[in-house]
Amino acid sequence: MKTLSYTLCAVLAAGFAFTGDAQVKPKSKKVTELKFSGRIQGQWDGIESEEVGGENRNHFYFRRLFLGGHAKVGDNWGGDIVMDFAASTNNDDTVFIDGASVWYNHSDALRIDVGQLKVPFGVEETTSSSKLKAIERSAVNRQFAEQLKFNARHTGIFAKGKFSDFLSYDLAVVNSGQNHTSKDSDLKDGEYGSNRNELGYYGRLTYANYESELRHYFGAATGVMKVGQDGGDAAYRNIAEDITAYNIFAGFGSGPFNLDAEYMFGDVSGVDHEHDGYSVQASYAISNAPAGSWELVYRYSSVENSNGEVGADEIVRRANFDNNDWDNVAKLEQNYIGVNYLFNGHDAKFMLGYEMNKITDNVAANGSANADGFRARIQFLF
Amino acid sequence: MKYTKVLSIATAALAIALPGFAQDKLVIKGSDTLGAKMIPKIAEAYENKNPGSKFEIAAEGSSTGIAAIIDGTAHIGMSSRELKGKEKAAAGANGVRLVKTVVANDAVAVIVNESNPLSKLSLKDVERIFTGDVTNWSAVGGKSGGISGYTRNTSSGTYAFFQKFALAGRDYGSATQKMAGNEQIATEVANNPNGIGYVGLAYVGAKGIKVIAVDGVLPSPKTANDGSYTLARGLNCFTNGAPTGAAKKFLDFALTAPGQKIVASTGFVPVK
Repeated sequence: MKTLSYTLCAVLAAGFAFTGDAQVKPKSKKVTELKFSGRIQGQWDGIESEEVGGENRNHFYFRRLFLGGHAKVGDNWGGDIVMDFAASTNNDDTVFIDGASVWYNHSDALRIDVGQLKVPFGVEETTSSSKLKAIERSAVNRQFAEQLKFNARHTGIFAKGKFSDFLSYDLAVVNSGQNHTSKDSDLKDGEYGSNRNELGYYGRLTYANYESELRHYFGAATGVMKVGQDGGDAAYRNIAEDITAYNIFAGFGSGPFNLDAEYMFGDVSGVDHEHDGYSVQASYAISNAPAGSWELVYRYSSVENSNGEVGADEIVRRANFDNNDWDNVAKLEQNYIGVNYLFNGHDAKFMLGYEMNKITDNVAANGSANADGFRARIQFLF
Repeated sequence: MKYTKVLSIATAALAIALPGFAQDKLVIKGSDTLGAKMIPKIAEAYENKNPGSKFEIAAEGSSTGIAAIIDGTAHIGMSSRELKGKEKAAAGANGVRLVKTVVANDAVAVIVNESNPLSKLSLKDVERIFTGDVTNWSAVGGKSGGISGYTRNTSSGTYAFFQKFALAGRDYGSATQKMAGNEQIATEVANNPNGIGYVGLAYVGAKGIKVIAVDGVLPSPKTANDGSYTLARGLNCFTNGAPTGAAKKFLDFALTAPGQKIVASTGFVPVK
């Protein structure tokens, strides 16, 4: 709470001056656009955890508490910063930087960002958490973003643009490991560690047409990231070399129906581990205008690694993995069924879902265990 | 299982609470250009013809109207511009198919104070003025004096339309002042000898202002329809899918002869 107060005061004092008529104005007179933003996600998770080693979870908490500032100077330059006061990685009074960049928008064909952003790998991962249809991202997504720390937020240089109305690209050259703050030069390490003096490279090509009767998008992404130097499992240190991964994705929509799917494959050289998995999500919207709309969601996701490095404890958020028998396993299958009510689009919505996780550990011959449960979220954006 | 009990309670509460939000009135949100005069007058005529029908009309900018259709908080979304790519994507992701019904045509008129000696400007000069490239009237052939530019606010369709077609997509200058609606812009320009702004055709009759010819053409119903005036546009009503029920009945009425007569009487250009 003290961190939150200090940071709010610092933001207001550093960037903005209040005039007598209570208008908020930027300190710089050259600013042509200034916006505040906020995202509040209150959540309840009730996850049965007895089969995976601990007491059942029954928690209310803030999943995300974002406060952001966005400004433009002139036609082409801008800067964004979004902080998360609820991030699970907060420690030592640091505030998690959800995203921060200085950008130059040359044209529709080229925008360059320098900062900490999500690299272009994984459709669900790069979709705003405020717009997700399932409460938590899929098993395969969390395996690559959380267990391997391959994608999600890195610091570096990003470029994106359009070749035409329908064809777009994304590129990134970033630190080879996820970053958090300037206080700590260590990068956030995944199962195979990170490599603080190496770079990661990512690229994505997307074709999207939302104007046809049958809305559709498809594309592919790839990336390579050095690992094996710092952190991670000691068994892989100085042995694992790099992770090379691929992502193919597609989606279709007609009227109120949407179908989204993506596949990920990653190879870890040096240890010769292969990770792969996919997710398929179907959703159906039911208008209740003018009082909002309902959204029904079903998603299946599966992820495997024959060496037992599927991070079940990272994938099943808030499940209580109190002993180590089930944290890293060979396979995880996940079913999610949910209903959302959008009172005012994503700005004010309620989500309720039941998540079923079947965890199979062939490596340690544990057999399989389940970690199922409900999640509920209330969201407000401004 | 205790979580099943929690789920049952939550679902039951939701099922009981949500139908209470539903209302039988026709909710129309969006563009100030459509929603300040034209649509309310058509709604009034419709109410007279269909006793018992109810309307809720909120004119806070085209962006709010399109968002309301995507979010399911309105039956009709008024917009004085075409859809943006982001809006098409958001609609698709939410299972919404935005269908457009053009109820009128319009031209965006560039206006100055009636004491301003200028009577015409090139489109390029309009761009230079509103982007802040020039800040004195003498730079575009007028009497010396600092230019005061008035624009609509960022959720306005007219703001976005003017930026795209008059400013070639460039940002407005930082010194321009944002106004809530057409009437406010006309009032400010009428009160400021160095003022310049833009309004829909319906507002060019305001006192104290003068309409400027752009590239030699004055805005009028004729030049809006024949395409000779650069800053002409359609005025749209968006629905989720093809209009049905009360929304269809209302839009059908807007396109009848009595409806289009109201369009003309409020200063816009009939489409039929």
